[in-house]
Amino acid sequence: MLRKVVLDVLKPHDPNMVEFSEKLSKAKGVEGVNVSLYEIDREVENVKVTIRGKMKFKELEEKINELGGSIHSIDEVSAGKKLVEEEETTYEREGKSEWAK
Amino acid sequence: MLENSLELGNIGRRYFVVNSFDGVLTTLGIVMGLFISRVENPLIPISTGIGALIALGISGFSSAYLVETAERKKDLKDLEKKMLKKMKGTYQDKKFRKLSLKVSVINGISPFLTGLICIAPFALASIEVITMKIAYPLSIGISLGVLSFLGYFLGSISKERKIVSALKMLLVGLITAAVLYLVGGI
Repeated sequence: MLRKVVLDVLKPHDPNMVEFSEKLSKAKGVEGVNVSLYEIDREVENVKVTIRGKMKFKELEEKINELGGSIHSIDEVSAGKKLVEEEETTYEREGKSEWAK
Repeated sequence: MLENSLELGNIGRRYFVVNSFDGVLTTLGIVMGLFISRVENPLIPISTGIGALIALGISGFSSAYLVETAERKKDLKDLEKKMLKKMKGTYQDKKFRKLSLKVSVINGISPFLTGLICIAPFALASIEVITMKIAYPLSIGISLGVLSFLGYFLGSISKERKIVSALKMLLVGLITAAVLYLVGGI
C-alpha cells in the first residue's frame, strides 16, 4: 500500500488543474492531492502530482489515464504502514555545507 | 483552442440560432405560399408545417452529429499526437462524444420548436378560436417576432446594440416574405 507518490505527469489543458486534482482526489484510498505546474505548452502541460493516502499504484495510474494524463516518471514513493519522508544523507548534508562556503 | 472547442455554450448557441432561423424561414415560406394560394383549411398549414419541421429536425440532428463527430475525432487525434498515446475512453473522448450529441440535439430541436411556435395560430384556427383571416397574419407576425428575438439574442451575445441586431433579422424576414409574395403573385 502506497502512502505517498510524487509523479511527473503530462496532461491536456482540459480538464484544468483544479478539475484534475479534484477528480484525482476521488480515487480510491487517496487522502490528498497536490498538483503544481512545471511546464506549459499550447495544448498540453507538465505537472508535478503529489498524492497522499493509502492507495494502490495501479488505481492511480488508471485514474490519471482516464483523465487523459500520462505518467512520465515516478519521482518519489513512500510505502508501508507509516509515511516515511526522505532523509538527507551525510553526503548530501556535507555537499550542501560545501555549497554554502 | 481546444478548450474553446470543448465548450458547449459557444457551439450550442451558434447552432440554436442558425437552425431556429431555418425553422422560422421554412415555416414562413410555407405559410406565405398557402396564404397566396388562399388555402382556408387550417389543417393544411399544420400538416405541411409539421412535416417540414420534422424533416428539418432530423436533418439538423443527423448533419450536426456527423459534422461534430468528425470535428471531435480530428481534435482527439490532434491531442493524441501531442500526448503520444491513444485517448480512447478518456475524459476527453467522453466529453467530445457528449458534446457532439448535445449539439446535435440542440440542432435538431431548435428548428422544430421555433417552427411550431410560428404555426401555432393555425392550431387555434382549427379549434375555431380564431379565423383563418387572423391566423395567417398572426403566424407571419409571430415568425417575424421570433426572427427579431433571435437577432436580439445574437446582439446580447456579441454585446452589440441588441435593437439593431433584432432589426437586421426582422429585415431578412421581411425581405423573405416580400420575395415569396412577389414570386407567388407571378
